[in-house]
Amino acid sequence: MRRSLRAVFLLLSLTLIGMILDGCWSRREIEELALIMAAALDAEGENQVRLSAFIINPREIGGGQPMGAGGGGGTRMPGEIVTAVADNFAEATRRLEEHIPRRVFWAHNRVIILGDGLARRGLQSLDWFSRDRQMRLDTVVVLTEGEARRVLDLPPGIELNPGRIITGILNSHVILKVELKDLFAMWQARGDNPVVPRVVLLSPDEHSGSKLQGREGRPGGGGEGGEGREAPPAQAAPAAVRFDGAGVFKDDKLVGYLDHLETLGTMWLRGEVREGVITFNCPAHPEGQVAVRFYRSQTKVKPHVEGDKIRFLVKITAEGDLTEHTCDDSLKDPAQVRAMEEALRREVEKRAEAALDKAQKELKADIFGFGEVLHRQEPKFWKQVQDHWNEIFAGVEVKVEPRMEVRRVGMTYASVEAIRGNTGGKKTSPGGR
Amino acid sequence: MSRSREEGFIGPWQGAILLWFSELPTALLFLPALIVSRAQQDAWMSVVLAIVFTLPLALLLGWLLYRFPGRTLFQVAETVLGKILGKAMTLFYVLAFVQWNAIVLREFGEFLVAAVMPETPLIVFTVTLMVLAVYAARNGLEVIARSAQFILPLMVSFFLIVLVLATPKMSLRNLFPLLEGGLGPLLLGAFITLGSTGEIIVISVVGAFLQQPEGVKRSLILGLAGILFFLVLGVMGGVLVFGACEAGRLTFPAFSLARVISIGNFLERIEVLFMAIWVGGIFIKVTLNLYIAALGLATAADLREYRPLCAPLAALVVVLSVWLFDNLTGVLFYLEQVLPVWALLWQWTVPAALALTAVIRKVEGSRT
Amino acid sequence: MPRPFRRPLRAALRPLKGRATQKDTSGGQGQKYPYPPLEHYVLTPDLKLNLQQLEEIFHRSGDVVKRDFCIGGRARAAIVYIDGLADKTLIEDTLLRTLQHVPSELAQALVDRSAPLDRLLEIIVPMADVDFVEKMADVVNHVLNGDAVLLFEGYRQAMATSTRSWEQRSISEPLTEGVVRGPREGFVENLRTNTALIRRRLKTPDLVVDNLLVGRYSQTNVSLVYLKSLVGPGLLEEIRRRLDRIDVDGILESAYIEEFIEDNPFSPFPQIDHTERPDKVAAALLEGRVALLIDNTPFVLLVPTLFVQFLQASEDYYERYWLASFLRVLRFVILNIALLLPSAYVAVSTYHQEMLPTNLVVRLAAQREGIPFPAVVEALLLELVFEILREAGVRLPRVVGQAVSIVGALVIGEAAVSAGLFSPAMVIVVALTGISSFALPKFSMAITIRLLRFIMLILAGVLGFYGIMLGLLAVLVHLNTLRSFGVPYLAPVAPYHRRDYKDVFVRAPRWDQELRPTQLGHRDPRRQAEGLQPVPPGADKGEKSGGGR
Repeated sequence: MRRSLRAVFLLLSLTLIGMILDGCWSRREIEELALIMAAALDAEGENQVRLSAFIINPREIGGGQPMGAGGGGGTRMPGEIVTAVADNFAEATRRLEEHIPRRVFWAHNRVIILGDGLARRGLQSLDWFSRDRQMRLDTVVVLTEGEARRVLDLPPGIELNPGRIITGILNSHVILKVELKDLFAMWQARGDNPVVPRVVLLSPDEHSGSKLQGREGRPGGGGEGGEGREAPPAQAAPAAVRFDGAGVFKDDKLVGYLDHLETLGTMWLRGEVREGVITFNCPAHPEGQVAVRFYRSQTKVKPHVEGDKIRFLVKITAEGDLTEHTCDDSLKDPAQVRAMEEALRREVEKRAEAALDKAQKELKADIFGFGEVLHRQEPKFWKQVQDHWNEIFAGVEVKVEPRMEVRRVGMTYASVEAIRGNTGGKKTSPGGR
Repeated sequence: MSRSREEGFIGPWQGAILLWFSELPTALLFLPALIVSRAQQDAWMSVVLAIVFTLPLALLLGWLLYRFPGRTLFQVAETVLGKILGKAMTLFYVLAFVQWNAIVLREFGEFLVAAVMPETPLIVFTVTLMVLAVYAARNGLEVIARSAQFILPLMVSFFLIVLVLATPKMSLRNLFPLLEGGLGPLLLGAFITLGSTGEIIVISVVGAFLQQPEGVKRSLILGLAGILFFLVLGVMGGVLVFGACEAGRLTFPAFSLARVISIGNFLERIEVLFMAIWVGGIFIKVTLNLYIAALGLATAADLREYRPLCAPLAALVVVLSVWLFDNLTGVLFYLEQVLPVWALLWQWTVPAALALTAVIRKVEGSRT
Repeated sequence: MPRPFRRPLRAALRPLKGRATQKDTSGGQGQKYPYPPLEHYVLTPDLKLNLQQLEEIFHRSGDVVKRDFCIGGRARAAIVYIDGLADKTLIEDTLLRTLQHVPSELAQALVDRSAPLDRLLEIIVPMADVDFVEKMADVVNHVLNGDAVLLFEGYRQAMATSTRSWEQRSISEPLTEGVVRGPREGFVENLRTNTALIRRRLKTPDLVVDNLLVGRYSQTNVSLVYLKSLVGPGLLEEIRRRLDRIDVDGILESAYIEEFIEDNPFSPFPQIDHTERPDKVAAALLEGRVALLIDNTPFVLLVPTLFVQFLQASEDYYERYWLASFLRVLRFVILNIALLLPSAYVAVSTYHQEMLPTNLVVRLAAQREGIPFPAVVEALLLELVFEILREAGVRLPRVVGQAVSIVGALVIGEAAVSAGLFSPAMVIVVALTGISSFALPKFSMAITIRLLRFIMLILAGVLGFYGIMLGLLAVLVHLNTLRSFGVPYLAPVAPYHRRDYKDVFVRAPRWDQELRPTQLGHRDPRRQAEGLQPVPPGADKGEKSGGGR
């Protein structure tokens, strides 16, 4: 028994020594990491790719402790932008490490910005992002026209880094949001094509409305030239981004863009609408405006196959609250509300139709995942069409049936207009409440 | 006849839990991808089918234990086949368990390296785990069973929590259409699963320490039911969240489930916890296999104690685990292409032959 | 099926050398006692010779008082006792005075030996607890235990009168196990007081107090206390076997006994519970456990002991069961924090940074900028500092101790952070861990956890969460190998006993705990009448509602 005790001690000390001598293979201290918060992917030259990454500077963001040296005032950057060119992104990451003093750490990257050029070349080069274990599958993917790198130049405002700015906007539930795993799923499925939201850079004037404020009023704006190791692009630095429309991929290549309305239609058809506002003119009084804020929507797609002909019936249901109403009819009348719902229905139909038009006639790509629906419902028939689904899709008949319900009308019953109109006419007495 | 057994008994629930642990820890990691890539969204049906196919094996092993109560498979072999043949068969089983253990160990190492700590040499994981396994195996079946009993709630609750947290990302549509490819892929998926479900052969050794025959029966029923339940959940979870296409593409779909969920936006990527808890499960599995191999070797060599054999066998297992495969692809290929056939041989055919011989030669076990 | 002693101590079965088995444990007449052996001293009728022998035996120790006197002015006698152990006033005022004034005819009878000594003394000695002894060894034994021994000229017999009375601490509130609600009595250093404290709680002839003597020089009284009809079969024999083996110089504290009788002497885990609270001992006895009372220490050992007992406080049973259940769950959390928090922090911050929310990662990274040590070393150093502070606080006089802990905690912590030696996050982690280890109800378990924490820390520093898991698995297997007097240490979790779960992670209401813990294997599993759940008047359940207070 004593012997075994001695053996335990021996073993313990041996392992300890062994571990201290050459252990700690996967160890990386937290402060030795270069935390990437956003990555921009661009095409470069013929076959090469350019990886630009926004690396955070924890001292600034983390409200650094008084760590002795390096105090001083002056403007400091929330991060650095670094860029590397290589044959593929895995290699590009290694290249990044050649000129930054810390180890690249991808696990906290929340945004991948695809450049227009790379997207047109195809998604193949993204394989590394699904294979590497550091990647988050819920990283959002966005598309930008022109160079993706420029999006990283967003100056700090409420949020300090472009990754947070973009994810923050996307979390509003109003905009199409595509995560990395969604992108791969859409790309892999034969009956679906990827749609990726597009960001547009805004100049300072567009962002804050005032030319004077845009340039000088922003505290962080002074550092335009200093950031990153790369020379700033020829254009003036952007002040903000806005989401507008979406890029459409056919299989894995970018083929075109949807405008704002068409993107909304696509979201309705894909069943990805979660919240939003629809504004339209009053059914009875075109000069007035109605805004409905809706939530809780559902989209059901039903395929009908008769011989060679395929028909899709899309049932959209949504409910919402009235948030603005400047017409002069009273909302106490159920018929009025019904008329409102009808107008709303037409509005949604319009959007869906616009998207369908674009997808079927112009792009000839099924961006709504209808093919997958067909696949599930009619697996036998799907076998016959799966290889040339996009072409067939261009010719299928799609019927959209929205059903909208206005649940509540907000805190007032009638608009001021309506009350003034009604007192004159003495139709109903508004004095009730 | 030698009685190379440990003093001690285990309860029927402990027996069932040991059965779960002899199968699930690695099966839940590696199998879903393999089954899904064959049977697509019908993978769960493959699992059900495989369990149905396993029932005859369960009956067979149960019958052996009923006829030879309180005897391990190795002792039965010696009783039925005589000294020389019996010892030969025991040795064959020792080798089979050692080889199987090496594969499990390698799977475990590959999983850790691929999914969690890529910079660390694989041998570090396998050796450390094996050292621990030797310590546990030397303490006997009772300790192994009790440790399993302790780890089980952790594993089950964590697994279920992962599944529950992943429900928002699931869509039932991913399970349809049913039977898209017909029966063919389904059977293929079931065939691959059989390689793992055959591991209930451990009952033929563990069962000797169970109360007869009621305990064996309950262990087998509970064991199979649990395996079915968790394997179906694991396979379904992956398919529901990722879709059959993506789930077949992922190396560890069940593990990837843990990658996509977050607990209240605070703990995000809890896959590391998944790994940590899974290490516990695999540890039990490896220990159990090691214990069985050591017990078998002790029976074959007419030793009174199996304990001294644990460490050398463990060393053999580690060496084999390094030597058998070149890389993860090799392991997967083995699991997919070789294992089912090999499992059919050593986990199904040989016990069946043994039972047949016992019937023909009219050998009965004395009740002691 | 329950075979509580599947593995008796291997050493206990070894043939024992040079030691007679002790049948009669109450008197201490075995060869071992007294020590050194006094075989060649005998009581003689010659009083002078007897006193000379005693002087030789005690080596003329200053505190041994020998006084010659005459009974009734005629019979020569002597009294021997130890100053400080025996009650001087009792001896002088009652014993001596009565004896000196014995009527002379009685004294003459003593001289003439006209009647047996014991008959005569019955008449003349005014004491209740007397003992007639014939061996010198017994005389010595009585003297050493504080009795006054009377020797008589012309007799081979002596008489011991119980005059034990020495300075002792009065019963006070136990310091280590305070309660808000519950009895405030604690054991003291006197064995008899302690047995009385227990007997006051269990007034039944079933309560057996079994005496043994352990320790060559210390001659310590050890009492086995149990309820005869509840204690599990074989348990007593096993305990006696283990106690009989002990052949050492002295037993100064219960820990001495503990280390000689525990099942796994190499384990870092305490396998025998100890307590200062009589109510806790009584509760344990009612569950079928055995208490070991040791003279000169207020700590009582309870066997068998399970792991979960170290996470339970006696107050759990005195507070409302909701709160008690919450506290029990909380203690499991505390246990995990105390064991794992620093290592989990190190693992996450050096291996698995993806687990944390981005904001936290950035903040931690910012805090760690410029810290000269890797996180493991930082954690180890800080833990070490903490242990030093704790030790200083315990060892120093109370007044100074407080100053040290304040200086240590505030000044060192603050200065170290602002000097950039340690990160604030690490200071928080270590502080929280330290507090957690104090929050564990049992100090003996807290020490073990503190030690294991360092091992976990190193494992986490080398292999991250995998290392932690390895450590935990090793601990788990080890705990599963442990038994306390045959009972698996982790019961009722593993092996699983559903019935006993009512008193593990939660504390079920008392009227619901109808059965005694299963693992102890006693004869009568039921501990109270059925259906004791209180019912409001009027809602008659038709059942007898007896005894439920």
